[in-house]
Amino acid sequence: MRLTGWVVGLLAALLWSEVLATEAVECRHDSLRISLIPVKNMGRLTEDYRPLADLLSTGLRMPVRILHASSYQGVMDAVISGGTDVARLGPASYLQAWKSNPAIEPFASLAPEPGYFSTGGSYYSSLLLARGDGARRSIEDLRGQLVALNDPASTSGALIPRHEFAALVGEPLVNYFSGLIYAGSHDRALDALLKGRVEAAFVSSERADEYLAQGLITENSLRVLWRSEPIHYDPLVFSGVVCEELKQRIRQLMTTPSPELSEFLRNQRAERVVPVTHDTYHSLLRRIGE
Amino acid sequence: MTNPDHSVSLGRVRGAMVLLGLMVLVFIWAMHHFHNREVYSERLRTEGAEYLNLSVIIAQNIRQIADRARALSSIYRAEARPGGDASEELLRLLAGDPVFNRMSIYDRAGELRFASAAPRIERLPAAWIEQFNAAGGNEVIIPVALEQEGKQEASPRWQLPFLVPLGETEQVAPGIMLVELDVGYLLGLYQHMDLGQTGLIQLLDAHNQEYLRANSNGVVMDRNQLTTPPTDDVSGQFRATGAGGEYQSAYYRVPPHGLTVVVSKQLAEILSPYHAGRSRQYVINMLVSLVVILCILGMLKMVGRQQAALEDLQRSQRENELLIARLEEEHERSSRAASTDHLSGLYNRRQFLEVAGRSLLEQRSRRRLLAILFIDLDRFKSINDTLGHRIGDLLLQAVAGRINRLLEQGDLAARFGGDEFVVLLAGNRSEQDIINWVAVLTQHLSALYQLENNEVNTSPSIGIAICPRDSQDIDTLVRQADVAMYSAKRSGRGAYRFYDPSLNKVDVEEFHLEQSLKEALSQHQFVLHYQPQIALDDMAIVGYEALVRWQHPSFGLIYPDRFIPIAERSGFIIPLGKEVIELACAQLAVWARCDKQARLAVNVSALQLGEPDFSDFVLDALARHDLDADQLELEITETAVLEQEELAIASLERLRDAGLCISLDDFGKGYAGFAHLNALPISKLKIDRSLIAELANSHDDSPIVGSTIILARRLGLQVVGEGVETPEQVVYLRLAGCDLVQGYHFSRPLRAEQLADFEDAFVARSRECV
Repeated sequence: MRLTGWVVGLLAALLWSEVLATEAVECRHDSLRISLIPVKNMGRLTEDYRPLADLLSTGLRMPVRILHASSYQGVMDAVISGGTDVARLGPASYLQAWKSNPAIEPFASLAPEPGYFSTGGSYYSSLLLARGDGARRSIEDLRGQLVALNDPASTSGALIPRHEFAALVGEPLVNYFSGLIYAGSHDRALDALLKGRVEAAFVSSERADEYLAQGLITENSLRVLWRSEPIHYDPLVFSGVVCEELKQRIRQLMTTPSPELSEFLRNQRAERVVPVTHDTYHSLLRRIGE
Repeated sequence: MTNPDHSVSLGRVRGAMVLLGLMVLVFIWAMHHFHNREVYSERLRTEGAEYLNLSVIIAQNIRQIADRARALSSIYRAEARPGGDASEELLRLLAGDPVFNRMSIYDRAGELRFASAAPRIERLPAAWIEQFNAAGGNEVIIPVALEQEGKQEASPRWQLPFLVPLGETEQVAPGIMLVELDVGYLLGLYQHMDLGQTGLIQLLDAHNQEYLRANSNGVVMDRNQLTTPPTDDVSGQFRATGAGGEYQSAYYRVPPHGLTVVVSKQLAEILSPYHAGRSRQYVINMLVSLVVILCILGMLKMVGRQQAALEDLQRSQRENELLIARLEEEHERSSRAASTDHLSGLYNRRQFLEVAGRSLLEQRSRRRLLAILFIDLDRFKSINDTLGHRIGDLLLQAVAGRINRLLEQGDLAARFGGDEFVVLLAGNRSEQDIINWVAVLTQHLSALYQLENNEVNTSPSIGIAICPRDSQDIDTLVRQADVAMYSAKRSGRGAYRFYDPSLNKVDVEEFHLEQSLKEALSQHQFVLHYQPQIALDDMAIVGYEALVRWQHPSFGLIYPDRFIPIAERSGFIIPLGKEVIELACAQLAVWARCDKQARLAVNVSALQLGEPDFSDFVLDALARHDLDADQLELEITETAVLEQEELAIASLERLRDAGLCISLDDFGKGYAGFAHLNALPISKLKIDRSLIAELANSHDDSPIVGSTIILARRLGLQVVGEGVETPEQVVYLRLAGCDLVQGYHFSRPLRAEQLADFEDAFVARSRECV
């Protein structure tokens, strides 16, 4: 079965690459558009990606524009429609976009630094966090409480909890908890937790570490009540409209050390750029019930 | 007793205080209630208005988004490729648009022509097309929400669909564009709205189905079903209910787009400041009420304390009054005691006179007789002396009792002191009645008295004075009754006499003197005055005659001619005589201590001379004062010797033998003759002053004096001339051979302390004469 899956996948990839290669030959790009899933405040996220945009703009000799998105779905739709060229997607949202448009290709991911909440090494986890000074000390304590999630398309902030945590407690989240709040971003979910608006939040371990790094919380501020299996870090993907040449040049730029890249990595608290392929994420489909 | 008026006014004051306190409390709590109601409704009104504003703003935002959708459709129509595909530019535009994610184009029947991304809806639902057409086919509408597919885990709607009419162009057939609003965009807006903990924004479709429920944290998914707003109005406020309790809600409809915006917040949260304020106000009001109550209680207590103080004051006033009454009573009792004779229980003199004065006026006004009886007990003095004062007092009490028992209405009885009782008879009595009453009284008082195993007999002497016959004045009446009593006494025991104006007043005085003789002796009221005796041959003072005087505390100096007869009559002459001898010896002893050589002559009465131990007494007195016998001279009278001749002569002889000089006084006054003189142991003869007085006229007129002197000298007696008052008398007596003289010519009797001056003056005068 697995072999069959691989063969089918390979054939499909070859077929699409044929199509894309045809288009890529044209390589009519006069600018590059980057879309980012709103894991945090869009303005700060844009700032974080500015060094990368600069790197690409310089390296590709074309203007690079970072597009604002209001939701994961927006970025997915933009990637699917080809309205954007490069996007940072979540693992699950990549897979969903890929299902709509197999021409979408993941090419890079980051290896975030290990942190208090994250193990590091290109992986992160979905965490169920409660306040460190609160009364909620176990999953059972959270039964009937209000819990925050991220965007419904977020891997660690919605999909993994909705499948893996629901499987653990044996009932849908909306039944186990008194209510769910889809905050729209990890940071908003964390903020809601820290402000006491919710009793717990499903958040990416990487975001919790960044809060720690920014001094917004201490190690004691949050209590980890549940941790998912490791999830591969978010991919950078090419939409279906990017020509191969451009892809290569971008890959090259992102694997060649440069001050911009270093700054980008520093902004992302990442150690390095990790090349990825579809296979890197494919296994996640099962985990999100697709 | 508390003043009732005062109690009533205090009660009113208390009532007023309590009423005032209650009014203040009612006011405070009424204010509290009204204020709370005001704040409550004000808070809800304010919040409701705010939510309405918010819902209008949100609705306006949706309206703008609808316009943006229409603009998007225009771009599509303008740039659409043949066949209906969107241009690359449009797709890029869409990719960079934060509001809309994707677009899909359908024909009017709802069949999909083009989709920018993988379409979720292959064919528009019939309900949407119906709704689109119902809106006229020219409006941007938000179609009704579709039931979510039966997934295990419901996912929030993250896209809000807009159906935009597409007019026909050359490139495009008429159709419908579906653009989907990114809910993330809305959340980005809503997160800046301060909705509080429980604030909610709901977006409802045309059927009031909830498309979206969000708060400032994100899209909410729970099982809480909120009631929907009323459908009869475009906007307004209402009270929604849900699992979280009641909500204050405001709604705003955008009918062309088929959308309703609802903003709600839980009442509990809205009212929590109100509740906190109310609790605070409640606590403050409780404190204020407590203070008011305490104030009232304090004031009541103060009033109570004032009342208590007032009562205390009144009580102490009452106690004072009682005390004053007791003092008055005590005073009255002591006054009564002062007005009563303590021994007999009858009135004393003072009180009697006072009451009797009133009684007198009363009797006179009724023209009735009033009698004053002055009662004196016979032999009382001797009873007192022989049986003792105790029996004397008992007798007085018994007499008082007997008098008292006989008194009738209006009669008074008093004891004036000693054994003197005075009775006032009032009533309507005739003179005969008074006599009868007195007779009965005499009979009663004369009956035998049994006093402590002693049978005592006495009788009253009663003097009677009657008003208005004798006098109309109580003092006078008493004095008259006294005089009458004296008269009765003299007439014998148990007698009574009416007042007779001819009665000698002097007798009465003598009577009183007699009564006070004993006291005079015990208190040494008797003094001696000294009259010098001069030897005629050398005109030298050879001695003095001691003359007794009574220094009476009330009557002043009384001369012996007034009291000696009384003393002789009452027997007091014996102790008086002893007192005189004692005084004379004491004076001689004084002189002896100053080396004054003078003989002192004292008069001895007959009664004294009759005493068997008279000589013993005299010699004893001399011895006690360490005097020579010849310093003392005793003057006796003839009659004195005659009364107890043998006894007297024996005593005198004994005394003369002892060395005393005995002189015979008042010679020539009585009947005594020279026949007796031989028998008497005398050494001196004193010629009576009556004989000397006769010498005043002429020398020839006194053969008696001359012959007496001659005879006396023959008997070997010295002769003394008494009462010498003129120089002629002195010359005569000298010529007649008289040895000594005394009299006013030389000196009246002098007090002891005057003697030294007299002697000095006399010596000086004698020298001049010589």
